[in-house]
Amino acid sequence: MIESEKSQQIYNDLINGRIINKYVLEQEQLVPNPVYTELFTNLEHYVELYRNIGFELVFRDSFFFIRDLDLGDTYKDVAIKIQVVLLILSRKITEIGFGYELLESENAGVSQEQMDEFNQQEEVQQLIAAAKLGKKTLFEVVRDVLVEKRIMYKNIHERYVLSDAGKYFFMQLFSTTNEQ
Amino acid sequence: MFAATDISLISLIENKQVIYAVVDYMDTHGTELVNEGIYIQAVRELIRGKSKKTEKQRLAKIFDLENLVKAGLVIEVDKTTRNILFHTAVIEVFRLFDSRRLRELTNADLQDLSARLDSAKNHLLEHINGSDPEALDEQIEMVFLLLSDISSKIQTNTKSLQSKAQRLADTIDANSDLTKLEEVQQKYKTLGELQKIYHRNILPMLEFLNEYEQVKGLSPLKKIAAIHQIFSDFAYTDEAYRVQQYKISITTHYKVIEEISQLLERYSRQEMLYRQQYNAIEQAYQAVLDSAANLSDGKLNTQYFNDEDTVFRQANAFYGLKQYRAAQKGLLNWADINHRAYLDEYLLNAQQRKLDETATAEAKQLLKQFDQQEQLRQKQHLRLIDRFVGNLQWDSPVDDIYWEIYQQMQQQFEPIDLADILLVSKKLQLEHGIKWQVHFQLPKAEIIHGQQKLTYWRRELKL
Repeated sequence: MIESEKSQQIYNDLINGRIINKYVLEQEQLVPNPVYTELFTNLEHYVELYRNIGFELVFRDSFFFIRDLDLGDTYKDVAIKIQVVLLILSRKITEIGFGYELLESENAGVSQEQMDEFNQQEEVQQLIAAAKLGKKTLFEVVRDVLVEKRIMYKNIHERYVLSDAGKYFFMQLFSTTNEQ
Repeated sequence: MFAATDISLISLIENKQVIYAVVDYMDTHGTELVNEGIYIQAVRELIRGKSKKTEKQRLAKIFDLENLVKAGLVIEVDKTTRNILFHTAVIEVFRLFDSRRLRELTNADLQDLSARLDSAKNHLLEHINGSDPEALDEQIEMVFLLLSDISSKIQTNTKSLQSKAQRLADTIDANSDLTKLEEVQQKYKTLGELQKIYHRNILPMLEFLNEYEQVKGLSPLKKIAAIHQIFSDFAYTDEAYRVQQYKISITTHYKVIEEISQLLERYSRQEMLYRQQYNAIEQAYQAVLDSAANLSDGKLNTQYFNDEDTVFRQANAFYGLKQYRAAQKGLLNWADINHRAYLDEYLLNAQQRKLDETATAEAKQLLKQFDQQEQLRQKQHLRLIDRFVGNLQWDSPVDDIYWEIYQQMQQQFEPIDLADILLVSKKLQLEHGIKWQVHFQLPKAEIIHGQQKLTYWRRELKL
C-alpha cells in the first residue's frame, strides 16, 4: 500500500538530486529510514511511476536516487565531484594518522577545523577547482555537495560522517583494489 | 672492594629498576649489548633515591662495573664501544620477575630446541643398547635436562605471550576514541606489535606444539614420542613414563596458545584491513592527482577533469545523479487526494479511452431500453389494480378489509405483492370514498404470503 505522504517526500528529495539512504540519523543514532522502506517495499510501483515521468529510479544496495532516462553529456559531472571530494577527505585524514573509520563511524567524523586545515594545501584547492567546484573551500564543498546530496551527514558532535551512499563508494574502492 | 656474586646478585634483585632499564634498552634496540651510559644513568637514579650515605656508598661499589665483572654477572665491558654484555642468566632471571619483560621464543629458538631433540634422540639411540653404561647414563641425563628445559621454556613463553597479548589488547580497547589522534596512533602502533607477535611468536609456537604439523622430518612432539619409544623398546619403563609426562605437560600449552592465536587473529585482521584501506585510498588519490597533473598544458583557461579518464569510473555508482538547482528548492504543494488512484486511473483511461466511449454508448442504450420496459410494466400493473378496485363489492360488513382484499387478490393476481393491498385500500378511500373503522388493538393483524408479511391495525368495514 502506497503512503501518499511518503511518496511526496520521496519525490521532493529525488527531484532535487538528493539520495535516499537506508539509515538516517535520529537523536544520537542511525535508524532505518521510513521513506527508504517505503521505496523498497513498493519498488515496482515507484520504478514505473518515475519511468512514466522520464526518470530511472536507481537502486544501489542501500540507497536510491533518480537520473534522467536520457543521460546527456554531463551525467558524470556530479559523480566526479563526489569522487574527488571523498578522496581528498579520506586521503588527508589518513595522511595525518587517522584511519578510514574516522569517516565511517557515526560517533566520530571529520570536523570543520580539520577540513579548514586541509584546505590550506594548494593541491586540495587545485583538485576542487579541477572538479568544477570553483573557488569553494573544502568545507563548503562538503557541505554543499556531499551533505546536500546525503553522501555525508553532520552528527551530534558537529562532525561529518559518511552515509550509506558514501560508504558504498569506499566499499567499491576497497573491493576493486583488493581484486587487483 | 669485591662483593661476592650472591651478595651482588641480591643487591641487583633488591633494586630491580637498574636491570629493568637494561632489559628495556635491549628489547627496544633488539640487541644483547647495553650502552654504558644507560646503565650508569640508571645506577645514578637509584643512588640519588637513597637517603643514607652508607647505603649510597655500598650500592655504588656493588653496581660498579668492575665489581659485576668480577662477580661474573657481567661478561665484559667493551672499552672501545662502551657497550656492556651482561650474563644471559642474569637477564633471564630478571625477565622472570616481570612477565612484561619476558622474551618470547622466536622461530629460531624453537627450531634450535627441535634440533637439540633430534640430537638427543640420535645419541640416545646410539647408546641405548647399554654397551657403554656410563655414556648411556650421561645421555639419559642429557635427555631429561633437555626435556625439562623445553618444558620450562614453553611454560614461561606461554605465560609471557598470554600476558603480553592481553595487555596489548587492553591497550587497543582503551584507545577507542577515533577522533583523538594520539589514541588512534597508539592503537595502530599496538596493532602493529600484535601483528608481529602473531607472526613471530604465536604461529611458530603453534607449529612447534602441533604433533601433526607437516614439517621436514619429525615434528618436535613426534621426536619426544620417538624418545619415549626408544625407552619403551628397551624396557626402560620409568624413563619412558617420565618422557611421556613431559610430552603431556608440553602439549597442554597448545590450547592456551591457540586461544591467544584466536584473540590475535581478530586484531591481525584489523591491522591488515587498516593497511589495505590506507593503501587503497592513497592509490586512488594519487590517480586523481595524476589526472589533475595531466591537465596542465600551459593554457590560461581553467582546466577541468576529463570525464573520459578511466580514473573516474570509480564513481560510476553515482553516474547521472542530478545536479542540485536552487530553483527547485521550493516545496511542491500536493492536494490532499489519493494520487495513486488518480494516476492509475489516468494511465488506464488514457490508453483505453476509445474502448470506454464505445462501451459507454452501448450501456446507455441498454439502460434506456430497460427503463422503458419497466415503465410499461408498471403502467400495466396499475391498470390491473384499478380494474380490481372497480370490481370490488361487499354485500355484508367486513371484519378485516385487508384480509378480504387479500383473499380476492389471490384469485386474480399472480404473483401477489402484499404492498398492493395498501395501494388498493388507498384507492378505495381516495377514489371511491370507502370508509372503515380502524381498531388499534394488540395483537396487530398479520397477513403472511410466502416470504412476505404485512402487519396492520384491523380495519372494519360497516355498511
